[in-house]
Amino acid sequence: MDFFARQEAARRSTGRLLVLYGFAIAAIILAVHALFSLLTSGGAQWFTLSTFPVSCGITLLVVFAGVGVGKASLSAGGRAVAEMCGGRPVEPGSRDPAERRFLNVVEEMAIASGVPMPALFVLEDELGINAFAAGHNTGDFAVAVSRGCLDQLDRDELQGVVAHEFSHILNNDMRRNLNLTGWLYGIMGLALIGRILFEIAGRSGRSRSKDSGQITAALFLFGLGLLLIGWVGQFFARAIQAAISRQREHLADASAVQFTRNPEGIANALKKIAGYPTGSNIANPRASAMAHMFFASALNSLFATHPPLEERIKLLDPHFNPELAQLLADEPSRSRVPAAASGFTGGGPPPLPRAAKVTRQVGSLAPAQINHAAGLLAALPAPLVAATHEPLGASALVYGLLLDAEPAIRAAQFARLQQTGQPACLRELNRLGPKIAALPTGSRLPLASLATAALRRLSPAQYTQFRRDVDALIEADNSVDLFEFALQKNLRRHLDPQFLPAPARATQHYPAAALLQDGAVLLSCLAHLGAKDRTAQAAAFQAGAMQLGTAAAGLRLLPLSECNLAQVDAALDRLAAAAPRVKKVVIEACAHAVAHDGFIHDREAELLRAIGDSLDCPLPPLLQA
Amino acid sequence: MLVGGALLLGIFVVGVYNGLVTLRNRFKNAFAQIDVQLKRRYDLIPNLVETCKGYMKHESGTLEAVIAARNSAVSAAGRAAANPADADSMRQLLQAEGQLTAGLSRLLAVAEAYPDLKANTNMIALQEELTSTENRIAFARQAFNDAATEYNIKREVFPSNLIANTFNFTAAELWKVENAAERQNVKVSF
Repeated sequence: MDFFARQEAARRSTGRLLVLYGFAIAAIILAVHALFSLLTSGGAQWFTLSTFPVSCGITLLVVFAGVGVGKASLSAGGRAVAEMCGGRPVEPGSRDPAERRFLNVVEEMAIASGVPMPALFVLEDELGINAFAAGHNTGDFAVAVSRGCLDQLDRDELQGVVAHEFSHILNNDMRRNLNLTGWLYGIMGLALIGRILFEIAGRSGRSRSKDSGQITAALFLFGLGLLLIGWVGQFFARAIQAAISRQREHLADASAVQFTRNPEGIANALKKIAGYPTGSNIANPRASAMAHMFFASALNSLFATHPPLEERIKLLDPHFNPELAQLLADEPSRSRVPAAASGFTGGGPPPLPRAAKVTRQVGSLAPAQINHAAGLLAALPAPLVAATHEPLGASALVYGLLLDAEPAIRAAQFARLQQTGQPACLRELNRLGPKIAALPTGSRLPLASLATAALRRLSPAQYTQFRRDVDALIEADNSVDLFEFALQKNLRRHLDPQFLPAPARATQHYPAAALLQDGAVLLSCLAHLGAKDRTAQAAAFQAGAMQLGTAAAGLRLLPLSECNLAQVDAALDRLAAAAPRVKKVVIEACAHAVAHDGFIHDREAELLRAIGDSLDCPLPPLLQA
Repeated sequence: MLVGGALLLGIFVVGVYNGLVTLRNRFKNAFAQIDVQLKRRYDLIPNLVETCKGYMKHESGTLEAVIAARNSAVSAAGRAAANPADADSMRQLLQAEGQLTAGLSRLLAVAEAYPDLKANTNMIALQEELTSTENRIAFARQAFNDAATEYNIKREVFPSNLIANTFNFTAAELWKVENAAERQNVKVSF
């Protein structure tokens, strides 16, 4: 199963789930109405048609209000969810050794998978070993680990846990979780009302007159009934949630091994949990609604959202003997050579992929890429890496990347920054400027993508300023080049959701013809970038168009004026809302167009990655030739 | 009807309360950004003093004053970081920081009179590091003040002020610094 098939499956199972919930809600409505009828008719009637619309409406209102509250609290994005669970953000520039190691592991994983640096959190008061990922897409994704996780795990184990969380994001498990938790809240709302009625009736029962006695009794019974219905509903909702969640955990474990090629890392992390007195427990009361998001069971309950530890370990490590777990936990963690310290002396980047392989790499990771990322990180000038760790340096770095080589334009750009009154930023830019100018092309975008973590720490006012400045710097020369386009797209996609909340877009089903034209725009732009003469351009275009299916036979290479970056941008916006299946075909077609002449230029690779990123299909940086 | 009204009111109160808690956490967390840079600065100062000592034989008073100011700022920062929502410890930190900044600028002014010291590579690197750390502090302070202001507004406007007062959400202390040097234009030099 590749990335696209997994995404498609995630969508389908969410649909099935909603049908299942639909039945549950119908059953609940009937049960509430039966309760109401029985009480109003003094136990004579199970169903009164006249009152049905009212009771049905009220029940639906309560359930949907609950769903709304639940979804709103989660749809606020990864950061809000992590904060709600008591997470403290990890400063990207932190010098605490445990936090530093966590940051490094995630930085490597982020560069390697092409996903921007997520916001990181520590659950400071949680001593159990656990972690979770939250967020809707790769843009507003947060990873939180417990204090126990930082203190008890070694680097390989932590890498396994982080890889597991990345796979949740790449498998689109977050969307599913959002729906699961929202509906669970809906049913919980019903039980909550039952409980309130129950308590009101109980309280007024003590000081009542004769008259109100009957009403109180009815209220009492009604509350009790609602409470029971809510409980039973929750029972089934949680059971469904748990069953699905267990499947996803197995998949995430398998993906983590695939990413790191190191089954020992994640297996040892699980073994440590098994042998650790607090295990993976999470004390925060809000954790119960989010049980399914964690790395290991947050609660010991009947409805385990995770498969038993022993089963998970056995799948990863067939020779596992549970009795050894205790021994393993007592043994001081073995010091291994950390992946980053072992260096990256093996020479250039991993081998150039063939077109057919590109789609298989979307949303996937191989150890070679993690090593490559570690090497890339090690090769970056230290002051620039340090700058990506705090907001001021990160902003100055992005400004620096956008400075033009032409002195006149650059002077205009400086004048513009001077005008907006950011002296601190300019001073920082003065310091970093020469080092930024000397950067090789291939490390410019990854550096900008590292900086997103610190840029998330800007205040909303600072971000508005930053966004305006970036736009102004890009427009200073009255033209947008490819790098500027890719950088702007990347920043907007990954920072806008946090600062300028917009509702998530639903999948659109445009008629295929409209999307074909968008595909032609992308392919033409890639063909113009990759080939000089007209015949080679047409050949590259055709190689891509062939992948779009028979309907694409009529497509022709567009002239440069009809496939400029503004048009590419519009095409990407439409394609971003398409179904995964469509995205797969488009990316495959682009990869074929790029690889047609057997050679992938830096510029082509940059655009291909920007395309993948815009379509929510993170491409690893494998393509640097 | 009554039950519905009570329920809506309950949902509203919980929503506002949670909103206040979120904003308070956000400005508390924004303080961590300043704290990282403050610590960096506190670590640089003993090195700076050590470097100056070799040259400034007759200025031990100035040097000691800087060290004393640094030490009291370190402990004030520790208290403020433990709870940035506590206005008192925040004010103490502001005061200690003010003294430290004054002491440092005195020291750097005196250092101007020692050409050998000014040419010392260690001194140049330290001064550069100190300046860029101060820039970062200024920037982080801006973010902190933005977050604290947002929280303060929320706790003062109707109707959330009713809930803020009932549950004792105290006002956040802003980090105000009037520093003319920060507003100056910067000459671009590369």
